[in-house]
Amino acid sequence: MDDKPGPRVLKFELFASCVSVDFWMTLSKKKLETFGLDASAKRISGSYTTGNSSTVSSRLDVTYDAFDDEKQHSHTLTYPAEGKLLLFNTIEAFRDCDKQQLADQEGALLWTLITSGEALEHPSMLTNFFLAGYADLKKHVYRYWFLFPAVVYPDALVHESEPLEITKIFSKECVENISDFSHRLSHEQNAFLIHQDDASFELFHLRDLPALLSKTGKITLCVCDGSAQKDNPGWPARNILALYAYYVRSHAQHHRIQLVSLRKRVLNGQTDIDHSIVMDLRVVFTPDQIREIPQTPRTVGWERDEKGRLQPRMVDLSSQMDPQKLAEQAV
Amino acid sequence: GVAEFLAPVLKDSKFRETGVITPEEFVVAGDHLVHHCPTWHWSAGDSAKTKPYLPADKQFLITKNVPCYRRCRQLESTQDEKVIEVEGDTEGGWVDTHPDGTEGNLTRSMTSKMDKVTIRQAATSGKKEEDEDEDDDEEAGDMEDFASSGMLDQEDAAIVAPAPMKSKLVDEEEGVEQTRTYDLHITYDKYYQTPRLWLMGYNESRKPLSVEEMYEDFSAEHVRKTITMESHPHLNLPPMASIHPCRHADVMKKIIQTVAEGGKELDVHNYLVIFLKFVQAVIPTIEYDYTRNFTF
Repeated sequence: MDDKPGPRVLKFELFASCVSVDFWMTLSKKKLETFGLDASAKRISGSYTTGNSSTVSSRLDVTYDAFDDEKQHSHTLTYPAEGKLLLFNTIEAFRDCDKQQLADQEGALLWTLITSGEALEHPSMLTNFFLAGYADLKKHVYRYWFLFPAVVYPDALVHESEPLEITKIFSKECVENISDFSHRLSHEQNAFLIHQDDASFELFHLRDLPALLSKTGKITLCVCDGSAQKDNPGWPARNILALYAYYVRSHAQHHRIQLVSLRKRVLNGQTDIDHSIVMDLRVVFTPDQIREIPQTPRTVGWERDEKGRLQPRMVDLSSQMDPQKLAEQAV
Repeated sequence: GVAEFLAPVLKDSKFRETGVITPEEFVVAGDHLVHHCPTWHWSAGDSAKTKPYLPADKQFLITKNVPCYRRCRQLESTQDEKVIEVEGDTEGGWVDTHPDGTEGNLTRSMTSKMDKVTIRQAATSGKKEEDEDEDDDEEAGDMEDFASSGMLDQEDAAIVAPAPMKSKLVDEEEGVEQTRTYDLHITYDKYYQTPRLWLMGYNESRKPLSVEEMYEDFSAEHVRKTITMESHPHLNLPPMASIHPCRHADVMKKIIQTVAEGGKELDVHNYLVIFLKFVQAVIPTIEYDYTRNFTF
């Protein structure tokens, strides 16, 4: 153990994109039959799950129903994520587009949601994605790059103590209350609050944050974030914490925050949240960030490829689409 | 196919006598599965392929990102493998979809079958490396042009990469086996009047597996026999791996009988929970089952 450990900065696990084959098939069909050469951004949607096995990375899934506006989101263990698709007509256009500018555009939209208070009502709007790509329909080769936009605000969050499992921090009864509350909320509410003082333990919607700031007592922020890592919350927690930080920037007594990285799993036919992680954090601001109107922060979140490079990924479905190969496989 | 198109929709319950189920019973069993194991959820599928005998929003069931930590050939060296949890079943048999007619093959117990799962020759491993090299070459072509100027990778002190999927087991000869993941679908097979399981595999980088690669995750005796490549009834997809349902009803009937002999009754809403336990014999390394154990 070091005598003087420096502050340990909180890190967030970036989503891993997971695109199913049926999405690429649907995309090809749409490109041929509907989009044509129209390369404007299209609305799509995906989802992420909080019910991961502890060994499977935190995933943002995009499937055949991504284009479906009427999609009902009814799964208990997953949360919706809105997205945009920008499909280029040539690989050169894809290569040459300004990736940082795209990120900044998305970040500016997030910042508006945060500062206008809209995200307090609908916190899941802060979990979204941007999919840029180029589809070679003849060769069945798809090149794509996911951005999971996150604003870099506040300057940092630092751990005040070691992360612990929820059952070590809260009583069994409180854990059950948290679990029940989260199951009763709509899927738009992937984050909520606990307010505690000596006499009470109460659960609140995120929209109640401004009102809670003037009360005495302790605020805990719960985020269903999809992470499977012990020390790190998942990517959705990052923008939610930015939202929290924005609202507490002038309330120094709330610069310490307890975060519950809420995880749900099914074991032996029972859903539980006992492997959720609780973190005591401190918000660190730069002087600029606690101004009346802070500047729009910069935006991060481009996914890396299989080798850790900031490059698009590629999927080649030709072996599955080639009639010759298909004939060989047919028994 | 044509046979499925022409087959009448099963109306009356014959579950106890024959092990087959009606579409209504499939929905009941599916609702039960989703309720008790929400890793599964209903899906509507492509609206052009909606089957009228099932509710529009409950056409088939999906579970995604199911881990598969090792290949079937590694099973033999692991004695602690415990897969079959249907206790009290002795007769459930798995066979070829092209049976050679010997009745003895038809009724081997699933458990003893599991014991006999043999090493699938690792003949594909050499070939696989070649394939990977090819991929790299192709990727190097025009992808490098994307390598960004510094602007994208500005310092971000608060990011960690998604957790790499580590295998729980290390194979001594071949090193760490990469964790794959599978999407599983359960459809209602109108012709066989049973559920049918479909599989789509992804490698550790979440890219779709080829059929040959997926064969490594099917027990050796079922590869190219019980597993067939067919068109998904609800999605526009290239042919997808599926466990052929021709023996499902028989296996189910035997389980019902075994339970009955023990003086209990198996209710139809448990059909899919039990179905998932017995198909595990075909895909012993895919860890999808989070339902509770059944004892009769």
